Amino acid sequence: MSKSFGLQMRGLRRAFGDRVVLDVDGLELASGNTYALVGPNGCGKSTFLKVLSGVIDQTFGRVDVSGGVDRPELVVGYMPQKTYVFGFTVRKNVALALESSGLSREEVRERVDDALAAVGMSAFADVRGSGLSGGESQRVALARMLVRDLDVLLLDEPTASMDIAGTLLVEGALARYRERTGCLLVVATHAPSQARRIAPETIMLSGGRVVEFGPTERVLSSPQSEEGREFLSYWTV
Amino acid sequence: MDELVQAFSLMFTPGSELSQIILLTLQMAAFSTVISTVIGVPIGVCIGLYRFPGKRLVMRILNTLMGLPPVLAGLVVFFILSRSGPLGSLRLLYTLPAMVTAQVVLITPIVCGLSATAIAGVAPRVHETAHGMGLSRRREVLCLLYECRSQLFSIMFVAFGRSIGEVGAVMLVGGNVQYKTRVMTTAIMLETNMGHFEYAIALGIALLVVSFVINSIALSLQERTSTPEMEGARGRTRGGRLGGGPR
Repeated sequence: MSKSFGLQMRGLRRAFGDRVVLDVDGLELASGNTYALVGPNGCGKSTFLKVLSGVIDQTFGRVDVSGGVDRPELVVGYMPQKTYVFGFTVRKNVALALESSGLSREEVRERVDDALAAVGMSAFADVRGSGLSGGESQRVALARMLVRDLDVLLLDEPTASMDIAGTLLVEGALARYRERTGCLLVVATHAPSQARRIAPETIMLSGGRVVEFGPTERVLSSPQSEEGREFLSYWTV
Repeated sequence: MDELVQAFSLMFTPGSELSQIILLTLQMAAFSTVISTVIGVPIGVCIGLYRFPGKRLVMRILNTLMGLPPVLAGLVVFFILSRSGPLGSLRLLYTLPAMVTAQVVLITPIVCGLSATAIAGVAPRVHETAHGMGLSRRREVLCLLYECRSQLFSIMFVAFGRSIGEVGAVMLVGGNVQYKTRVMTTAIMLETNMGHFEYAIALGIALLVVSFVINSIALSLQERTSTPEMEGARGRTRGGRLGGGPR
């Protein structure tokens, strides 16, 4: 189990030029939980995950970590929406994520095998990344996350290119991973059914702001905000 | 036709002037390509990878230098290496190093600019992925170079092609000295000026054949490094893998 902590966003803003694409204040997320991140296109989901992961910096504000843990201590994994699988073999792609782990060769191999098995990609271990389909690439990208012991795992539409069997397989793997590591898991998704299956709590963004936050069932069934109601009116929930 | 046959038979005759010209041409093109790559690729990678003040200006200058007239490049190198120039004491004018220097001046901006463009196209996605995986910056750059290897290889072909077919600059700084600095393009010029048109055309065809052979070898090496492996294995395993549903 990883450490117990909470993430608090204080006046977190990200702007590109004059355009503010993220403006989150007072949102608190706790380790050991899974959060679904929903909202219309361009609402700031990807920017939210990128700022949390540190891929891009916030323009203003900060993310505080509670629970006696410093932010640099947290090991954060981030899987972008457009996954990139390197041209070498699938096995090497996954093993690369453990390059600075200090594990022995045997341990790395064992972990890579486990991660590939978890996402159903064992048979592809020796296939080159350039020869994979979109769904297969997403599974490999996910295996690169699951192979590490993360405190925070941020996934941007991780099953967008997968069929339903692959999606269910990956969701099961994510649930087991969170159970085992106690990490904080945030999954951006466009599928209400997926939000219901994987996340007890849901964050809804609109125009870069959090318009709904709470138990998934409540957020999806009876949203409190005008933006939430409008967005969900297009969903078949 | 006889001229062509004669040119080809001379190509394979050891010690003939033509075989010596071809050898010198290949030496010049190979040296200038390697030196331009060693200088141009790292600079191109840095320009493509990093944001810095004045980056647009640097790219504009590079794009301008990519169209640098060969005669102008030759002229600059000529003045630098001439007896009264800053490097005149080295006595490099009308030698192979002088020709290679002129070629490097011409080719490096091309290698640099094309490398920067190739890297910039892939870098954002590789950066996001590498950061998300927790990779070190050094490993990220190595992965980026690996991902761009085909483009970088192609850029080397372009550099080699530009070098082997160049005439203006090498004529100026090499002087077309027989058995010393005469390369295929300057030899073609000489034969044309002397009215030996058939022989000049035969030389031109020989130049193309040499270029074709070298590019073919390089391309087959490139394909060997970039072909996805185990396509057969994918086909065999795909059907059964998802058949059982989630495990």
